[in-house]
Amino acid sequence: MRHILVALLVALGFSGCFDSGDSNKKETKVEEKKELLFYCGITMVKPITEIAKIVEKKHNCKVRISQGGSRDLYKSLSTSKTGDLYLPGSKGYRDKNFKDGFLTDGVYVGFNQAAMVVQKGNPKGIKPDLNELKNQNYSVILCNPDSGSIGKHTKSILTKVDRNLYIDAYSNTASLTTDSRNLNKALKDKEADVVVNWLATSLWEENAPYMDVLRLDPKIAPKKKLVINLLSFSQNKEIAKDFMKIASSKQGQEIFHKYGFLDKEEIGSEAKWYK
Amino acid sequence: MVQVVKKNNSTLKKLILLLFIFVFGFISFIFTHLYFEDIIDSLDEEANYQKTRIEIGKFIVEDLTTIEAVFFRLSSTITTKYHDVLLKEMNKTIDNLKDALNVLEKGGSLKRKIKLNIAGNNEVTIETITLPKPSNNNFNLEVIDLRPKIDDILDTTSKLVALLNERALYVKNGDQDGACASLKSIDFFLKIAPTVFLRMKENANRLLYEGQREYKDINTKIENDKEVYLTTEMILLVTLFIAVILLGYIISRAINKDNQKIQDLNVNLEEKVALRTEEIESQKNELKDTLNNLKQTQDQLVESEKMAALGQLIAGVAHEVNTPLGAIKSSGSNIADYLDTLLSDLPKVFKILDQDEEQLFFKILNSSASNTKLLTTREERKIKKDIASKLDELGIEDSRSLSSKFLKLNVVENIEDYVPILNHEESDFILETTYQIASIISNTKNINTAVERASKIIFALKSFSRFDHSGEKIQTDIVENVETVLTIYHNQIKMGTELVRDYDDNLESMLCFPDELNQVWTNLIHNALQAMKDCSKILTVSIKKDGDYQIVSIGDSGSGIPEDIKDKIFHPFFTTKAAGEGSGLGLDIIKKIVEKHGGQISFDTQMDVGTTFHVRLPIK
Repeated sequence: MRHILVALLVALGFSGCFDSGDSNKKETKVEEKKELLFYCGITMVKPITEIAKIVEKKHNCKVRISQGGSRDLYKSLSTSKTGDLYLPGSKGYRDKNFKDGFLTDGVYVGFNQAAMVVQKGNPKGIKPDLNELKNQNYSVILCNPDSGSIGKHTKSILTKVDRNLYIDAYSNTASLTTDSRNLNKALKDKEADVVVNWLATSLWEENAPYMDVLRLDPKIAPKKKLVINLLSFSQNKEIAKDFMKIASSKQGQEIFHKYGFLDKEEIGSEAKWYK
Repeated sequence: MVQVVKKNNSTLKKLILLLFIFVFGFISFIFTHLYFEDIIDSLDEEANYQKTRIEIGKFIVEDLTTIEAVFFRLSSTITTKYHDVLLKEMNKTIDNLKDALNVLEKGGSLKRKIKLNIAGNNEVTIETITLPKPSNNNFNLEVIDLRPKIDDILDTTSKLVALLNERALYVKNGDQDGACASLKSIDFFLKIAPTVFLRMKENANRLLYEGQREYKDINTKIENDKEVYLTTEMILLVTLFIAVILLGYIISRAINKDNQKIQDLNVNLEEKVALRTEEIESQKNELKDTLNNLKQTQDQLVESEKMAALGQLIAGVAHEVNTPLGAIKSSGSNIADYLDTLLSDLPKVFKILDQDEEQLFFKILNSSASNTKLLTTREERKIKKDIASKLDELGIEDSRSLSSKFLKLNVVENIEDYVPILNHEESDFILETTYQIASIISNTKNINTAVERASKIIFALKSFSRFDHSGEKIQTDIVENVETVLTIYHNQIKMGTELVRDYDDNLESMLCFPDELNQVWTNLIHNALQAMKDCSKILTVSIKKDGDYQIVSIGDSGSGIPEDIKDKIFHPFFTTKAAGEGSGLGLDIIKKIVEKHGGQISFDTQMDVGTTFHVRLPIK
């Protein structure tokens, strides 16, 4: 009789505990997890998301990613003073803002390189020349230099070629976007004949079928280093640093290479750290 | 029986278990229900939270749209006089936007005035939505993203105003080139500036999108949880139902089995009870027989006690009767001896006596026949001496011998009157014959006395042994009743025992069973006499009247009753006598007889002083 009672209790116990994993108890566990906030330029969201999953699993934590233009992200982190890592579209943001004291350790994880991107097959026959952006026969869409890294870089390379080119090109635009994703969208939506965007994004499988890359001379469009920066007010520095280690490790390098942010030759090389 | 009790306990335990399972299942069911209800409530709260966030997101988008509209309205104004109005409207909207972001971040109520553009109705509806404070410290990305962009808007607006003022100045100054350049700058600025609104809208839309997505996810979760809840409850109910049915079946089987065993045990029990009843009946009969035997034995013992007392009585009575019989025999023998001689001598005496001497002869006979006083030896010697002296004075020879004869003939006075006889020549013959006749008379008296004594004893014995078969009390003289026993015990009492009687004068006859009371007195007197074997013997018998009672007290001067047996002397079979001398039933029987009369028996005793038993009997 006692065994029957025990069996019943066990059965009831199991039945009582049976749920889909959405119980308050589990939610409480999730709530108890450490939550990290990464400010990530939209361009690098894919590899960062992939590495974040590794870190979440390893440290039983939750990584939330605030994605947007690198400048906007910096304004957000400097205003809220919340978060753990900042990955802008180029090292220039670290260099420019380092003096604020919010950015501490940094590690190189890859690079961005700007390119002219046109409709698949380049139906307008656009040349890989930045002056083509002034051509009023083309529908030009560029990124706002005050929001995304590609906008800032576009302004930079246009200005480097010719100060007026920047004005003329931007004046010739049909519209400005906030980031690289919207540039790709403009191409896919046939709103733009040509855009200046980060080369890597054009190679992604969801974009590649709609566009071709017109590579620019590296002298005009140099590689922009991607550096993950540890934030001084991070509450989870150990995990954040581990994220940086993983991202700069061979495993991380392969992921960045997969999304076009790193050359194959660089995989396995020791990443550079910035203090 | 013990086995039945154990089975009953086992059945009870099983029933308690079944009840426990019912209760446990019910509680589990309630607990599960509450548990899932709590989850659903929590998800509902979360859903409401997300819904409210979406509402706030809509407000934010609305605010941004307003700000953007104001911005472009501002950009299109040629004169600067409307700037303040538009900037005021923009600042007010920006304040609303900040409020919305604050509520989004920290929770709280958000009020929005909605102007109704209805003819005849200028009322303002105030819509209030409340967002609970976030339960955790999670980041609010929308707030983090949007808040800094407010500065961008203000900054962008300031730049626009500056450009507009610049253009206005050129126009005012009539500087066409400056105005054109300024317009070109404004155009370029307006190409870049809207991006800030676009970014903010993207952020706000993300808020809406994520809110809606989470809202949808939560609703899906609620549906899933409800399904899980229903499934779990069904599993629980089915499990409970099966468990209860299964256990109920097992327990009912066990109960049936127990009942069967109990029935079997009952049958066995009934058989055992019947057997036992038979045994008890048998034992009862045996006990009844034993009781009867005991009663018979008791009766026999009582009878034996009576017979023992009677034996003792008979021994005394035999002695008592034997004494007068010996006297009668001796007296008879004397008379016979005297008659043999007298029959031949008596005629001779009358022949030799003259008339005067004949009268003296009869005078001597009369004197000897008269009652004589018992004399002591000393008295006899004195009388003999006096008679001999008198005879000597009268000159009669052989005075000593004659004095003895005269004493025997009870002739002790006026001796001189008998001188003619004494001087007769046949005086010895005459005196001898006279003595023989006197002896016959004396022996005859002795015989009468002995017969009277024997008769008295026989009468007492007859009174003692009288038994009334009517079973009813009869009126009895208590003194006579006690005296009867004393008479029977006369022989034993007279042997060195001083009998002290103390009877009240106002004693009454009383209703009693005299034969049974005889037994009481016999036993008490017998015990008293036995208690005085080795000491001075004083037997005290007193009868006193005390109201409606008469108290017979029989006391001895024996050694007393020891303290340690005082409480036991009335117990049946208790005796201090040697084995075979007494049954130990005497005082027990006495007590029963006295109680039968409605009386009480008690005793006073003092060591080396004696014991007195008091029998208190009601007169009626």
